Amino acid sequence: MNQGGYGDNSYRINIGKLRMVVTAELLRAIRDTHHIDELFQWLSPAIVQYFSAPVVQFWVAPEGYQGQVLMKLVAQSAQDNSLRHRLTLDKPVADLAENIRNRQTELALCPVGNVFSSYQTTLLQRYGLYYCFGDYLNSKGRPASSSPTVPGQATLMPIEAVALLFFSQPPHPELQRSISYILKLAMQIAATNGLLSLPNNAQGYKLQLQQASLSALSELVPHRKQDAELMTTNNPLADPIIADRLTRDLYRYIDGRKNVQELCAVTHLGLKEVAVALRTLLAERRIELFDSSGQLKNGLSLLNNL
Amino acid sequence: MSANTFANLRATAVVIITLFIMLRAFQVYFQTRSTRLFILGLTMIMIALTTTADTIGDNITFRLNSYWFNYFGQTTNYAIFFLSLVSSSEKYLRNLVRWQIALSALLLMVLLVGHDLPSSFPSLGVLRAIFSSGRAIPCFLICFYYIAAFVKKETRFSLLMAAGFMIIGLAYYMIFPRYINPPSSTLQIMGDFFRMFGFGTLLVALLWG
Repeated sequence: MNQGGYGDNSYRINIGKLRMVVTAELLRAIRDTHHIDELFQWLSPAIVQYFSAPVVQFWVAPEGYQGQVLMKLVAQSAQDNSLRHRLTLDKPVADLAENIRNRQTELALCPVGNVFSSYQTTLLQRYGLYYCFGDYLNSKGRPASSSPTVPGQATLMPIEAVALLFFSQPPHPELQRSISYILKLAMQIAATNGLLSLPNNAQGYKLQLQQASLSALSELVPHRKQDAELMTTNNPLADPIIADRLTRDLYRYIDGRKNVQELCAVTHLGLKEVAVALRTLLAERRIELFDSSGQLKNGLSLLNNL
Repeated sequence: MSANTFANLRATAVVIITLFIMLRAFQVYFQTRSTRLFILGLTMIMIALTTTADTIGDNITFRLNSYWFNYFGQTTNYAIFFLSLVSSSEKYLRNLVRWQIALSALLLMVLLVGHDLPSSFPSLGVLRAIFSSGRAIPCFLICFYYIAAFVKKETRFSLLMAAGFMIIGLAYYMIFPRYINPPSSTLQIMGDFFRMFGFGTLLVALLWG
C-alpha cells in the first residue's frame, strides 16, 4: 500500500538502511561524548541531515524543575540557518515542549495550527513549517539528593527531554518511526555509557560545569549583529532599545575586538554580571559570540550552564 | 488664513517634528551605535535647518537666497537616507556618513554665501521649479523601498513610512506650477498641508509603527 505518496517497500528499505547508518554513526559519536547535552547537540544536525527534517530542537527540563521555569533549549538545527535564530526565542515553542513534558507522552504528527495560536501558525508557515511532532524522552535515574553516596558509585541524573521536529510536509510514518527509534536508542546508549551519571555529586558537577563555562566565556569575543531590517521593517525608535542599564552599558563597549574578560575590565563588572547581560543581548539577538579564531559559538548553550 | 501664514505654520510643524525625530534617533544611536540611525538623525537636522532657513528667507526684507540651500539640502539628505536603506554593510554606511557630513557642510556654505548669489537671472523660475520638485524624487524612491519592504514583510512601520514619504513626495511635486505660473495660494496651501500631513505620518510611523 502506498502511504502518503512516498512509494512503498523500496522507501521502507531505504529508510531502514538510513536508520542503520545513523545508528552506526551514533555508536561512533558516543565515544567522544561526555555529557547528555553533547549527545543532543550531535543528534539534532544528524536528524536534519539524514532524515531531512527542516528544524529539530531538543528541550531539557532543568534539574530541580518545578514547572515554573521554561524548558531549556540545549540543541537546535535547521536546514535554513536563519530559522535557527528565529525559532530559538519563541516562547510558544518552549511552551509546547513544556506541555509535552508535563503530559509525558509524544505529540503525534499534526499541522502546526493544531498546537499553536493562529499568529504563531502564520509565522511558522511563513518559514515553510507546516507540521510538527514531538517525542518525550526520559531516563529515570536516582535523584542526587535521595541516593546514598557510595564511594566509586556514580549518581544517575534523571533526564527529561523533548525532541521537537518541524516539517514542511507530512513525513512518511516509517520516517517518523525511525526518528523515534533513534532518539530512544540514543537515550539508552547515553545511560549505558554513563552520560547521565555525575562523577561525585550533583552540586560538585554543577560547580565544575559553571567554572568551565565561565573560563570558556571569558575568552569569547562578542560582536554586534548587523540588523539589516533596522529602519526598513523594524522600528528602532518605538521602544526602549535595551531596557536594562547595565546591559546597555556593556553593549556600548562591545566592538568586536574586546573579549569578555577585557569587557569586564573596562566596564568594571564581574564575570557573572557580564554573563547575565550577555545572555540578555544574545536572547535579543543583538550580539553573537566568536572564539579567538573567529569561529561562531553557541553562546546561549554556554551561558545556560552558568 | 493667508498662504504665507499657512507656510509658516507648516514650517513650524515640520521643524518640531524633525527635531523630535532627530533627538530620538540620536538618543537611540548613543545606545546602539547603529550608523543608519545616525544618518536618520543627521537627515532630520538638515530638514529642520533648511526649513528654518527657508522660512526666515521668506519673512525678512533683505535677500538671503536660502532656497538653494533648502532645495539642495533636502534633496541630498533624502537621497542619503534612501542610500542608507539599500545596504547594511557597516563600511558602506560609515562612508555614507562621511559623504553626508561633507555635503551638509558644503551646503551650509551655500547658505552663508547666499546673500552674495545673484537673485535674478534668466529661467530662475524654471530652475526653482525643477529643483523644488526634484526633492520629490528621493522621497518617491524611499517610498518605493518601503513598499518593497512591506511586500516582503508586512509591518505597520514600513507601511506608514511608505505612506509618509509618498505624501511628502506628492507635496513637493504638486507645488511645481507655483514657480512658473502666477502664484496660486490654493496650490501652495495644499502643498503645505500635504507636507505637514506627510511629516505627521512619519512621526506616527517612528513612534508607533
